[in-house]
Amino acid sequence: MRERAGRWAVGGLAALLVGLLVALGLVVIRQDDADAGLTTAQQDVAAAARAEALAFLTVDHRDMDPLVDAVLEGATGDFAKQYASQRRTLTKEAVRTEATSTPEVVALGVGDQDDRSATVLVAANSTVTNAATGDEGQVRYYRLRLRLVREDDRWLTSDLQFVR
Amino acid sequence: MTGGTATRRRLVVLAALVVLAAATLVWVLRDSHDVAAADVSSADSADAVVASSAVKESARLGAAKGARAAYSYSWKSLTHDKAAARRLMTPAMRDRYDRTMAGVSTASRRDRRVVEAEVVDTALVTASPTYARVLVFVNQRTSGDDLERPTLDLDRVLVTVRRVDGTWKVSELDSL
Repeated sequence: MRERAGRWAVGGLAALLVGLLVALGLVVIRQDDADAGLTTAQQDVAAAARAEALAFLTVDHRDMDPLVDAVLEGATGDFAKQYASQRRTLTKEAVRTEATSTPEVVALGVGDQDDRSATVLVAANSTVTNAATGDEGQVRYYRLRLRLVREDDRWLTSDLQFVR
Repeated sequence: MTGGTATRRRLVVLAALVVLAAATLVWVLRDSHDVAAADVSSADSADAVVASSAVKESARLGAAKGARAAYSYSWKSLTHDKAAARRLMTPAMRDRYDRTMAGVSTASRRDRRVVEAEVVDTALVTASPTYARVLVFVNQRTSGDDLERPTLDLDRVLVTVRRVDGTWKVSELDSL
């Protein structure tokens, strides 16, 4: 009698185990819903765009040169040329207005992307202080569109616009 | 007697395996739930994924349509506009939308308000085949008798969409 009950229990547990393994398999298959190549490509260009957007929005009148260098480090093409030519004006203006700007990225997404180019949208807020705002500063809200191109395995920004 | 011992041993091993499998299932399920529910707001997050180009494009399109409908209405066609917006939402989102619009309806008829939302651009934050988040730039133009001239808001909206029966429905609108 006990022997038969035992066999029933073994059968029941075995069936339960099979059921659980099938469920586990289904969940794992359903979870595998990311394309590894596309996911990595998107994360790479997004990280480059975040760094460039933050560099672009950062201002500190006490030491502008490294900030301008940081923007140029991630820039290429027309954007790099234009920005480099603005170095003196940007620095002079920051010093004159005693400006600082401390940005944060609120959200960031990737638009069209292929192997060599991508468009990225960035929603960023920046706390800005200058001679007019006083010490506590003001928060500015930005919408940015960056175009990036891949050069020597690095994503560089070739265009950066405020979106109206 | 030996048969009984063998059966007992099998029982113990099976019971242990069942517990192990159940625990693994719970762990995997909870983990996947966390990823979907995580507040991913940036495409460079480790939790952000892209399922495929087709999923990405359809999610961007669905988010754009949903956001435009949710942020547009005219006092002249309020019932129709609300129905159009609700069609593109999940049930939970519909409830939140109804509560928001309940406060808006009376005032919009009184002031003959027209709100037009234009989607300027969209970009993907994350997209699995059934769950996606899209950053949408929306320009919202409002006119009405209570306004001397139309106002223009340049909005940034994080739109969460879920695929229900093949179509993307808005499940969350987060105006940043």
